Amino acid sequence: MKKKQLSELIGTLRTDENIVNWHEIEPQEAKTRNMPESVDPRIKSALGKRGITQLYTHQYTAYQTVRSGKNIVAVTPTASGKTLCYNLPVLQEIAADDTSRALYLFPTKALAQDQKSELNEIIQEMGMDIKSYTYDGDTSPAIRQIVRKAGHIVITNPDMLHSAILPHHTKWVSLFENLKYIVIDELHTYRGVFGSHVANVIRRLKRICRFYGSSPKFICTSATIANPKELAQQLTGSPMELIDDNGAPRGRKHFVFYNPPVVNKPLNIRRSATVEVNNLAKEFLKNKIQTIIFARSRVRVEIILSHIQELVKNEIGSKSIRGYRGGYLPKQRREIERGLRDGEILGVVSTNALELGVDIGQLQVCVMTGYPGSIASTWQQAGRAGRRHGEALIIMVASSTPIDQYVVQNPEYFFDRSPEAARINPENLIILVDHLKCAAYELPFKEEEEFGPLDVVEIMEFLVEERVLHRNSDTFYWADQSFPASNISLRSASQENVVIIDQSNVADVRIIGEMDRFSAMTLLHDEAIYLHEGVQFQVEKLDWDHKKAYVREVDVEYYTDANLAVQLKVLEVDKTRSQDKTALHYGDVTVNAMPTIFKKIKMSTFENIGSGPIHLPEEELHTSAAWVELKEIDPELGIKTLEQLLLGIANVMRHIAPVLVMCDRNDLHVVSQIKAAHTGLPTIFLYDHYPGGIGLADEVFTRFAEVKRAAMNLIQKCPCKDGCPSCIGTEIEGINGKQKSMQVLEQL
Amino acid sequence: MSGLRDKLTRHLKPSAQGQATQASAGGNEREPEGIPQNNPDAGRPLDRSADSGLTADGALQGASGPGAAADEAACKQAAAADPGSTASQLQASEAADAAESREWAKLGAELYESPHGSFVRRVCTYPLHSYHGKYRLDDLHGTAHELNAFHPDQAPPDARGLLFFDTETTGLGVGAGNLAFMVGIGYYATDVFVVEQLLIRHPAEERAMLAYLGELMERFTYIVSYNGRTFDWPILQNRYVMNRKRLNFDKWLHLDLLHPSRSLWKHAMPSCRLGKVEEAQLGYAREEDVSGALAPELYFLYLAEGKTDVLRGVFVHNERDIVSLAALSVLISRYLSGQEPLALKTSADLFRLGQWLLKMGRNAPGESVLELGYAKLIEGGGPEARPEGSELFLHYAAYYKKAGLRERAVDLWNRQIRQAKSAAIVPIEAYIELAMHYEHSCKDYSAALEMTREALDTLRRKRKLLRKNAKDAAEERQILHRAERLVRKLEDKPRPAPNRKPRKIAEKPASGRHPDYATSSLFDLPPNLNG
Repeated sequence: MKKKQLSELIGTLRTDENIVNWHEIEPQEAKTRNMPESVDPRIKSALGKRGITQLYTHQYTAYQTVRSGKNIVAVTPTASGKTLCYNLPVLQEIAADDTSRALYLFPTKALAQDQKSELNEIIQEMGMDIKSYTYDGDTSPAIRQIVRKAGHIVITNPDMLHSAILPHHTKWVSLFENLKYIVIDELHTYRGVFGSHVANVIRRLKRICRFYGSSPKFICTSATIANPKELAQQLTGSPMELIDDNGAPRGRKHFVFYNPPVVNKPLNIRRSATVEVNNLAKEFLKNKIQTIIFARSRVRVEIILSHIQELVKNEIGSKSIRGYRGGYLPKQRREIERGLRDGEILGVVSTNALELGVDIGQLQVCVMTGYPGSIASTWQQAGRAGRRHGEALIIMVASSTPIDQYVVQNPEYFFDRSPEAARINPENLIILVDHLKCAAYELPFKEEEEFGPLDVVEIMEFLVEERVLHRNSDTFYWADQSFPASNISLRSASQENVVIIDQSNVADVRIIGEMDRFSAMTLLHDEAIYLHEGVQFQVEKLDWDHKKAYVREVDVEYYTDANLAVQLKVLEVDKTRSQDKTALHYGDVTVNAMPTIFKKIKMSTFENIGSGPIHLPEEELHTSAAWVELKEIDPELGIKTLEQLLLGIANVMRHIAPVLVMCDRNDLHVVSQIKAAHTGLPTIFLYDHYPGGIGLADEVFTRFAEVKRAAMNLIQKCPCKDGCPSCIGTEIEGINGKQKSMQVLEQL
Repeated sequence: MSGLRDKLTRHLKPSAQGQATQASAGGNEREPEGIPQNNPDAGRPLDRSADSGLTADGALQGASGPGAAADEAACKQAAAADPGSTASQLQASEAADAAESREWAKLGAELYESPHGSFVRRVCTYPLHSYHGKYRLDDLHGTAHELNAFHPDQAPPDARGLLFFDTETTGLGVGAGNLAFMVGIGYYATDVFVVEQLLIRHPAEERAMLAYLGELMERFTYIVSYNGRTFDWPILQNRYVMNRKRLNFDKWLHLDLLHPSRSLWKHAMPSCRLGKVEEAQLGYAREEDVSGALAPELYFLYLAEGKTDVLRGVFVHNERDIVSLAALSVLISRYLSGQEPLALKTSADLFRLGQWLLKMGRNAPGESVLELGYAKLIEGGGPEARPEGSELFLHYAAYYKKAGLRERAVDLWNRQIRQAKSAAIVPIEAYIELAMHYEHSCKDYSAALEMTREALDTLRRKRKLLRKNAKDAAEERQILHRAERLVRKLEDKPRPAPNRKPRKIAEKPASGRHPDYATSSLFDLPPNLNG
């Protein structure tokens, strides 16, 4: 069979009736500048040996801006040579002054390892004695000594910085005294709880640098998000220059939305996305076109992998399709990368883990099984396909979930709006106070010092009352035997997490993760189906008293959804926007929640196939919320009907709000009350799941108009007749629910 | 802004209390009961010389003397005066200072004004002829040079070049937030042994204290501590860095007495903490000592409430630690010099002492100590007479084997076997050693084989009683391998090709025989085969 070219296949695809939308992105020529004069000849020659004789515009601008003494955040799509944005100025500085030091921060060890390898290659070519080391949990004690004393470039992650380096900064005098640059890679991953913690860790880092007399500059890189400059400034507390003149060349890209056909009209069920993906991928792979397929869970990856290997085993060997999961060692990744370069490996099936910066080369086709969850993630995945020259094809195959359906049917939502903003809230009190303790442990805290915008002296005085700090004239000192950093995990916000223990293998019981108490009530109750890194587990026992959840790996066709009986009390109103019929507020609330029952819901059809009670005590959560209230009730509607409509609208918002504020479904909760406790008015509340709030409700408040419009859009475009789980739910019947919901929404 | 305060309370003090707040709360219940105070009129302050034979202990400063009443009156007078006038304010603050000085004086301490700032200093002196337990402080003058065994390529120390050093810190670990709130040092002066304790009333006094300490340390070449090398010393280094002071810490040589203590006494003591070593080896029992583990809590209590009295126990404990270090140095150096009487030592003690002396390069004393220990072992009747102590036979045997004194080794192995027979002990090692001895040194293969057989029997008996494990199985294979080699030698057969599997000893018994007895021809040899 004659091998078809990609362009041919693209032509064929255009005629497929399941294509809902086709978007073409024009190619871009490389935009380059000459290598700056100031670059050391050894660096020039080392780069030359790797085929780099000129810089792309963004690399050039980054270099010059950094050299002029500014902090930068460079926004770069995948495969645009972002590492040179930081490696070049850093190596140049060390070449010019051997005492210079730099600190590189990566979110994961895997990324850190990758960068270390690449950096060391360049250093070798340079022929200079520059020492770059990773410093993390895996570093052996003997090496640790050397890194502390003599490493020019220390590569680490925020967790290590927080618990090992900063509290022991007296062992790192050489580093802090001579620190010139702090590199923060993958800035966009520092959002939500994690980002809020890291912002505080960086505050502590800056304090220590000041103590040792250095004032390093920040070099950040980020994928495309709506607010890279704002995030960088919030995270580092320093003014930032935005570098976004991407000069990397790009071939023509086709972005295709594919909706599997409906196979069961009354229930509105479509053919499985996985099946469609298999068939699409098969076509490309058979013709030896390098393809990457993204799936949302490890289980799906395995399914797709085995199917495709089966499908193409006659035309190409099954070894030419590889799976990829988070946690692969650099060695394995090098293998896949090499295989792709040689042409030996044609296809990679991966989970979203591959989003993060890891370089496996560029492929020609990218197929996404379902919407990756955010616009930013989508572009990142799409970025995997696209050579410097020649065409690339990206296909998003929608699954039947409401969000997927919404996205593929509303392409303008996707293409016209900017990607989501990454939000952090470093002033979340629980997080802030934890880091203030660490800061005081590291260096006595002076009254006039700042640590973020809040008045921390009051917090310090509170801690003195708690006998954690001691005050002497204008300084606060750590006054406790404990080591504060040890109890703080950067990835969670509350203090008493439930530990998740996997006992699938009784001989090797291990802890696989943690979850905050509040989430655990609805996600880790007995018999719950819990998804962890794409693998399904069932909770066999939740030991609430000891905060332990025992789980076992399963593979089932349903998921569980728990009901939470919620009482909301408004404590403070911080912001208000009022109209004559409705009002929108933002402030602090107390949520008293008790889980009641859970439902088992079949994945493909959304049928309710079972339920059960949940026996757990009530939990209290103090957090921030945005709420919208109706000042008067339309007399035509009646209270009962309105109550049902509010439920329906809340359901819609539950689907749509997380998409707009770039968070997980479980991070933002939506509750409707026909008679709110503090006003007696019909109200819908959207609250942050994390104690103290993490900025999500705030984002909802700011963009409420968008939320409303998106909700209306979803209801309108939903092909169901009178309500379905994908929009207002099935609890409302016979009252022309959809139309009436639209009316209510209109008023908001 | 009360809103923030409300939020803090709401978020950080829910019904389930967090950990951080527990730390200081327990201090109240565990306050020390107070050291018995001497008659306030007894002797001059800070002098331990009441009686030459007395152990230097507990003669703390009594209650304030006649000056107190006058000061109090001055205080009241100041308070009664017009509060607005600066003169009376000055009077009031002077009176307050005087009151504070009295509080410190009750603990035998004083406010020390240095050019860099103030801190609290407590000085105790001990006449050189004082004893701490069984050891006289000034004995160190004669034996200090022996301590060069720890740093053989450096000049040997003399007693006056040693600085004894122990800190009390606010926590464990060597992070930046752990500070030494009390630094205790001891040294030999012309006529007395001096214990100086430097206490910072709050963290801001640390600078001044470190400056003083730095100058003082210059006078010494050796730092003697207990676990100081990994704890106190690095913490002190941290404190200098935290106060932006440069100090070259490589100038001093370190003598951490924890390590020799472990080498010498770990076998005989469940814990080698200084207090335990002091009691068992120095013969000094502390009365009413406040444990070092309580020091952080007590200091935080003092910081929060300002009552100096809670620190009394901390001072005394630290003081005793310093003196203890000096006495321990006496003992260790006496061991090194061979002066220490060993008549009452057990053979096990002597073995470890001997080995340690050899390790420290003291070959002649080491060997003579080992000889002494050997004699005791042979004599019998000591703790080695008990079955559990029979390991010592093996230790000595190994030593003599290495030293070339084979007859002794053989004798000791046999002794262990004899002793073990009377109890359910497994002297497999002894049998194997004898087997090796007969095979290689005597070329007596049948005797070697006999020993091997005994080893196997013993192992199998043991295996019968205990659960099977991989280690025993491996050991059994090795013994069988040895046996086979010996059989070959006896039969004068050449070595087989390397990859031939060793001939299996059948597990299945012939009828009538106990399953644990091997049944192959190997063990059907006539018992008295003599080559």
